[in-house]
Amino acid sequence: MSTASPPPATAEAAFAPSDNALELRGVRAAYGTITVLQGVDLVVPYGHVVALLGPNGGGKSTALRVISGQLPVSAGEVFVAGRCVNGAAPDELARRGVCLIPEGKGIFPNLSVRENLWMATHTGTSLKVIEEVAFARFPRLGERRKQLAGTLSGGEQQMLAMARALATDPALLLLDELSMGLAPLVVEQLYEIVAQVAKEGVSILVVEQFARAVLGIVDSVGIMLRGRVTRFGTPTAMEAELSTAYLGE
Amino acid sequence: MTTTQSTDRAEEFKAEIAEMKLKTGRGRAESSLQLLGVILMVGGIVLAFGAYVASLNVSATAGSNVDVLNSNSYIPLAIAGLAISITGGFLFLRYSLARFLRFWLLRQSYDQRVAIDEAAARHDR
Repeated sequence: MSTASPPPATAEAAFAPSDNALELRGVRAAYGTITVLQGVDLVVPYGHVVALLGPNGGGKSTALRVISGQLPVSAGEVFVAGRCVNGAAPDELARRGVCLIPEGKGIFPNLSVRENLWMATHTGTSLKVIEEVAFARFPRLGERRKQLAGTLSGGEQQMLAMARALATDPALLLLDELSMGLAPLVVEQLYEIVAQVAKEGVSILVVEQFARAVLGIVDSVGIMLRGRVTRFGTPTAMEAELSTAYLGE
Repeated sequence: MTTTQSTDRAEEFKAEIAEMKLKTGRGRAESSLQLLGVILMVGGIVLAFGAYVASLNVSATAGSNVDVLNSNSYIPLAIAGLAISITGGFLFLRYSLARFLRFWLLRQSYDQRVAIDEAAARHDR
């Protein structure tokens, strides 16, 4: 158990707004008549890795959909780089550096590795540059550049999804359930890469159901329950809160 | 990447987000244009029919061609009414189709995503 000071009740209390790559203020969002986000407050300061943890159905992935512009906000405000981006188109946000790696990888299984990387040229970066960046970080993908993405292992597919995202030089990276369906060793390797990316100055918001996978690399942790961030603080301070969050109060 | 480089990227990110144009209220504008299309369609037909009704009241005067001139002036008015109606029709069709195709595209994207997820899940098994 850590001796760290008690975590602030909300994420807003922890950081000054001007230092934030991302900030959510009282964000509500719904699928039709079902309200999933019930007033989310969250901050991701520049160059920080923030994890959003919690049991299934808490609204974590929905929060990422709202941040990336795929789901409209019904109330509250989403600030990216200090600007309210409510109503911004997802492609506009992606072009300017907000990059989402969705749950289930989001690659094209019937295209080769090279062709999948080709799809990332929409941001204006040339295929040559994208390949250089991707294969330098993931040499295994370089060896399999002509192989169909659908025939890669789960870990390699996730590497491809990450390579495609990182090659576009993101400023804010949103990772949704990176560990989904992967062996613990592979997950560990992938999060080592995430830690490297964070060291290069990219602000990262990680959504995870399996908390242990990310606690070692994050700066702050938010626990999300029933559409709200109920706790926010350092990983050590939050570790004890996690079992309560998952098993009930 | 050095700290300076990452600070530069953060500054660049701020600048890019700041200059982003937000397309808010587009849906409302589309609905207004669709409604305008309906109004023009109906208004054009009313104008053309009005011109026709008015032309029926033109009475012939012996030794004068004023009645013919009056009658002739209703023809371009009726044609203008039809043109307005057709323009309104196109406007209505354009924004109705845009809305329909947007939903269709969303549906296609959703189906494709589900199919990819299923294919990936089959492969993982």
